[in-house]
Amino acid sequence: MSKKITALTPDQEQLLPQIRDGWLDAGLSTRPANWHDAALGIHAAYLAAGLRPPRIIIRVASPWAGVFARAIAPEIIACHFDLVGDQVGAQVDDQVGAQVDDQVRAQVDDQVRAQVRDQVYAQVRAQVDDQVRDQVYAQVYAQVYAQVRAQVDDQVRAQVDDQVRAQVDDQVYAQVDDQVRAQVYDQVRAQVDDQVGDQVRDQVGAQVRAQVDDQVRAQVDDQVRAQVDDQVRAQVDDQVRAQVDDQVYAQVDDQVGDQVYAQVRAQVYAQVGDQVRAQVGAQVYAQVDDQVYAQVGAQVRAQVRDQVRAQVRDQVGAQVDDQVRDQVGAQVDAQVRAQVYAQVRAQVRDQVDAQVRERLPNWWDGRMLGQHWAAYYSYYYTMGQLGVTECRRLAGQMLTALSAGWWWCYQDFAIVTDRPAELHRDAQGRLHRAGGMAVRYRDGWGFYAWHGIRLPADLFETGVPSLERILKQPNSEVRRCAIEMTGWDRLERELGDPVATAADPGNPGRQLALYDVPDGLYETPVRLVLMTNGSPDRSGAERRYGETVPADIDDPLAAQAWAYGVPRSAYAALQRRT
Amino acid sequence: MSMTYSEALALSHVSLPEHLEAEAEVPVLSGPQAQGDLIIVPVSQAYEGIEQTPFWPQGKILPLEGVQVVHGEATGNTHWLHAGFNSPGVSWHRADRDLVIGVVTVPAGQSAMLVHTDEHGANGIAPGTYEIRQKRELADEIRYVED
Repeated sequence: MSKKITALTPDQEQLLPQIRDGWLDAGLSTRPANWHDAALGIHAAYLAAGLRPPRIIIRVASPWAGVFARAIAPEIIACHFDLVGDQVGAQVDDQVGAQVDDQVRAQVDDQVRAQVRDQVYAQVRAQVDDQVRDQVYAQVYAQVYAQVRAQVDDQVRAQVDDQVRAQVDDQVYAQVDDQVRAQVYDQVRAQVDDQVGDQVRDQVGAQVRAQVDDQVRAQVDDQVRAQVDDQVRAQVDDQVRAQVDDQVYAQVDDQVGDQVYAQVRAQVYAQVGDQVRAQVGAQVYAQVDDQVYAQVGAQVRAQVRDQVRAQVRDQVGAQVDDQVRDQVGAQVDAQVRAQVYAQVRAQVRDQVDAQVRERLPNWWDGRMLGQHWAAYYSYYYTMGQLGVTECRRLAGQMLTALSAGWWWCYQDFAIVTDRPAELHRDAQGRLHRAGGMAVRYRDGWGFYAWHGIRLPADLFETGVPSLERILKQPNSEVRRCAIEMTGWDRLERELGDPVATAADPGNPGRQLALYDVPDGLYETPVRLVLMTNGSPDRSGAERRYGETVPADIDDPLAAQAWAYGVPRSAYAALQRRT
Repeated sequence: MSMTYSEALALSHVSLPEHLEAEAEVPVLSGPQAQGDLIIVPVSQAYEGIEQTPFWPQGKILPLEGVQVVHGEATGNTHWLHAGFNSPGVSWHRADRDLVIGVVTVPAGQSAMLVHTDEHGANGIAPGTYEIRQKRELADEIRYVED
């Protein structure tokens, strides 16, 4: 056994904040996914776990779309291979020409038939589930299907098979290592983030801990069998449809000639559609989940992690371990996992629970968090830099985390999701945005948040909500956040008569007004001062806004003085406000 | 000793908002002034009738490029403190104690300039010692206000 690393050199210590910033950048990134690198990383991650890489990697725009894609992909893949093989294989061959290797295709077909279809598709035949024959399914289905077909064609041409695995292994590793290294260092240079948030983690930790045990819930639900919600389907449908039309079909057009396309469409797509749509059911999902999903996920994730961890334990002393955790992992964790990931996950979980729980159970199985595991990877990345060679086994996962959002790993296929297009946070790193979604993905899925509190989207869909509507929200924290997000100025007319008004010193012609706040918003008794900015904003508009003060203050000048922590006399003597 | 808006904003490399008059003079004042969520208040008035005035240590001479008094994480807007014309003796002590961000001291015959990079323009500060304070609100927690 090699000698333990028990202290960091000055150079290594200097490296820690740089690595931290590099991973923070990845974890909070809103750049479009680098699909190529993400796929490369996924291949390497499977290989590192001793598994054959997936033949099919399906891209979707958001975690929410991923939840659907993971559920329906197995049937589509199975049917596709099945029908291509049996019905139109020969015709596709003619069109594509001599590039297609019969042997490879046959092998792919055989393997897929053996491993996916036999487990999954046989079950499908026994099932008729009317509920699944709906638009959500049809749309996601079309998207996944198109991607599967394009990729199968590519892969057959490229002749990827088991026999070259050993070769691929070495090449992928070398490439992945180089890319991970290059990316982290590029990002390090571009980043300055002097925010440290241990206290932030504590705040949000409470939210995370409060969450209900997902597994228990899903089990209970299996027996409950809720009704399908039409509205939900329509909503998801809209989100997915735009993507399908704009992206997928364009891609298919690029890759497949018109003639082949029409032929395949008529002979495969239509038939697969009829058969699959009618035949997918809850039991199939459960079966797939139990037998395939969890195993691959556990292997890629836990097994590799355990091995890497064991070597870190052997080779790194406790003190260095603590130092890396404190200076790299904990800080990335506080911002990425505790703030962003916890909220995205909670939103997906709530939506699944409220809308499609029974049809999409176990959506978390096989899930890898990609960029949201930045903290976890930052720790092992650092250990790798300190010389723990086993950390290379995580290089594939790291590359994917540097390139994309969540992903799901299953036998023979993977789902990978884009990063968000927008991510807005407050000074403490909590998700926060006035006037729009705090997190928004490129398919439009996302959610509103105010200082780390998620708010229901329907509250804002029809513009500025009324005071009455806000006060009807069942959760007091949501009420308070909704009102602050709306802006007190927009609600001033609904507040009734002010307790007192006064001219604002140093701000000629403008008034301060002190109001009582409607019941049910704050635990602490507060009053509200409404004031007007001393300078118009860049649009030339004069902005009026409200701030809350202790309720025992009954004079607007005293309220402002309290806010600045100065005597009333000092505020009253204000000579100029800008 | 006085400055126009365009001169003051140029200190922070900030373009002049269209609604501000470029050649208007920024008044240099010795009393309390507010700039959005910040207040500039003479130390002599900040504790009137409340408690003993704290002892603030002597600050450091302002660097040529000024200091960022507050940098808004969310908005990217910054309140900059700069020395005025011929004002090499202006000093700044960062306190970060409760609401007091720092203390600026302007020697006799000199001036300082607080500049907001977005809409608030500029405030001129006459000789004296001032606290620059931020604002809080009470919303089930004490929160600092940031514009």
